[in-house]
Amino acid sequence: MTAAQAHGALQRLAVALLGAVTPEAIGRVAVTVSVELLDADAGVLYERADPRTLNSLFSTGWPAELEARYRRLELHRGRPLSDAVLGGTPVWLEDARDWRARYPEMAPIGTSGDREASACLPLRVEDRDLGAIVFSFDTPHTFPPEERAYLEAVAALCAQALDRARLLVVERHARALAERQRDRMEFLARTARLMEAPLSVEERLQRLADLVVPELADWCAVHRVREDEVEQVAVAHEDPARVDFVLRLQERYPPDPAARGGAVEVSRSGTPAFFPDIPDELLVAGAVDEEHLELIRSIGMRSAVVVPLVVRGHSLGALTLVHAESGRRFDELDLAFAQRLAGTAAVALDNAWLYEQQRRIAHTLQAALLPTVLPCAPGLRLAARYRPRTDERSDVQVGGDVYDVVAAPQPGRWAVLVADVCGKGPDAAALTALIRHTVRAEVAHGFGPVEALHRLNDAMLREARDARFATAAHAHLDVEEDGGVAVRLAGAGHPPALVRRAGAAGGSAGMVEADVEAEVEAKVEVVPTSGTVLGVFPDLALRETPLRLDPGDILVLYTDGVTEARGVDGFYGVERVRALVGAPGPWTADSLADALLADVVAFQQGTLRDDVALLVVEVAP
Amino acid sequence: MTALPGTVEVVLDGELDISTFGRALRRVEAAEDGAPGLLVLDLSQLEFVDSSGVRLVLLAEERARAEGRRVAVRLGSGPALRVFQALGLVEKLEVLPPPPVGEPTPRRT
Repeated sequence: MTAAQAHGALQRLAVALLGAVTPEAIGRVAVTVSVELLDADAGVLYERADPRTLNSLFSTGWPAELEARYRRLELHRGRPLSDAVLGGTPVWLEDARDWRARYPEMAPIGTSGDREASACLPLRVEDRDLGAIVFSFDTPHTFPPEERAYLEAVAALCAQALDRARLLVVERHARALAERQRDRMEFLARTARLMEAPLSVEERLQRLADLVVPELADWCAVHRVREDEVEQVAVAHEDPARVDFVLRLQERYPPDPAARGGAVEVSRSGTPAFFPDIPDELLVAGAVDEEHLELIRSIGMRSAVVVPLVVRGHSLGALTLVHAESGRRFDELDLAFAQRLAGTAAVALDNAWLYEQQRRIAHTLQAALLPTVLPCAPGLRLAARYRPRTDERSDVQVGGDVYDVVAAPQPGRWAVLVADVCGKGPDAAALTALIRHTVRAEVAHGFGPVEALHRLNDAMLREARDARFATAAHAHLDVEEDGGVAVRLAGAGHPPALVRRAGAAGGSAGMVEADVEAEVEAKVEVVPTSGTVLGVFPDLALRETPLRLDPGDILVLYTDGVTEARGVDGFYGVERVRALVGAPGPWTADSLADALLADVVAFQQGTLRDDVALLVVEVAP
Repeated sequence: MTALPGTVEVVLDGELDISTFGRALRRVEAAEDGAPGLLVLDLSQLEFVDSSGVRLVLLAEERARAEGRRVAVRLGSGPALRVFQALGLVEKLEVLPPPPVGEPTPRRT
């Protein structure tokens, strides 16, 4: 081969190698092209798999048995190929005699099939050991310096191509990892958003399971610890029929709660279970009988991870991911990601749980602040309504409004109270409770309305902090023998009370028919219950207003959630309350309370900026 | 009217209710940092005020009393006056008239 031929051949090889991308393709191109160029009888290209092993990427011209035997070989000093790789210099064996002299042990193999000459060239780029390329000849072959140089140039080209491919593989792998990482971050973000959705805990967990399939797993199940039980709350698969199948299967063969690595066990222990491969023996071990085994085999589970939903050191349940028909396998990265996913879900679940707790406490507290039922007061018809402020963020409400009706020690006397504590939350609620129970106690001790409010003010000044004040309207109602009611009304900074007079405006109730009366606007009196607010100043300006209610008259007490309600037309205001209370009847305590509440809510388009409490007292006609 | 030494005035505007209470309270507390001899809270510019505004004033009053300072309010003739009147507070607080136009006023924030 002339230098020009060699140069041309190297160019051909270089061009051919450029078209090869994978290590396998490079092996094939390098070996076939250079064997042809060299007129060699056999060739093989090895890739360095690890420090001690070479893997054949492509070989040609070897007996099948030999090819199979050396597809993978371990490096051993004292063998020509190993010496070339480990020493970093080519080993040239020019004929069978050379083989026997230098590698007596390997000579029978190296020269089997009447092989004579061999050239073993290491493939190196800088300090990177990439493997080796071997050429064999059936005839003795001297390797003159120019041919050695040529072969080394071939090896260098192959090494560069292999290095490029290796880098490409590493880069692709890194990119795939990065993409997977990015996809998974997106997935986590989606999970977090999902868990914030205004849904019940069960709905959220089902959505989570639905989100997981089929992207992350063929199957997903979620279990939740509830008291002492672990219950499966969600199962998902792309095909709803498969979900039905599994649910029916579970009904027929309830899963063993003690099964190692099962969702129940993981939920309780808080330790993840990882089954990269699910061998048939595992199914056999878990099956109750032959039919069960057939059914679980038909699911085709291949790989699974079961991770606990852990938050604040507690396990709230488990997330189970299963690969089946897709044939995918979970790896360590999947396990780690499943744990993160479960962590995100667990935090959200925990928040939901805390929120539910808080709401339950609030409801309990609220219930304690208001009478569950109003007492039955002979001669009076009572109705009360309460509606907490609308909170966009939550419906956790402990209100500042309170109403109460209680029997005074004197027969036929009833004490009524409507009060409003400024602010919300536990502090306001505590003050609300103080107001309700203090007034009850003062009434029981026989104190009149003004005196009771003074004593309540003292109690609030002893207890209250942070300038929390309250307004109140408090009255004693004495039902008299003629059916009328004598009222002693006191107020402290409270919106005025209203009295609807049963007698038609300007007319006499006794003279007209009920249905005629119904069409006439009633007279409504506005009775101030101003005076100093409670809980701020030791001295109060309070006064008592006496009133006389006749049968059919209606007394309306309310909090400023009614009058201060704001709509598009401005404030609701006392005038509007007065107009509604005076609207043509007939009204009962209940129907008037309903109408007033409905009107106030509608006025604000359903969104209440403040609590609304109403107490309506109708004197039995 | 001459500005009193050690007088700081906080002018609140817009709406003062439970949702804006926290922000207004922080402004008042910031004004209290210098321990002014007289803290004037001007509520006369408010378009809406409810019991939260009353509580804001009462809190400032409570702290001032504890520290030997004074608090006064401007209620104007709009919503603030209506609310403070309804609660029987006008007689209980030091209520100032609106600041005269064109005359030097204390530091207003």
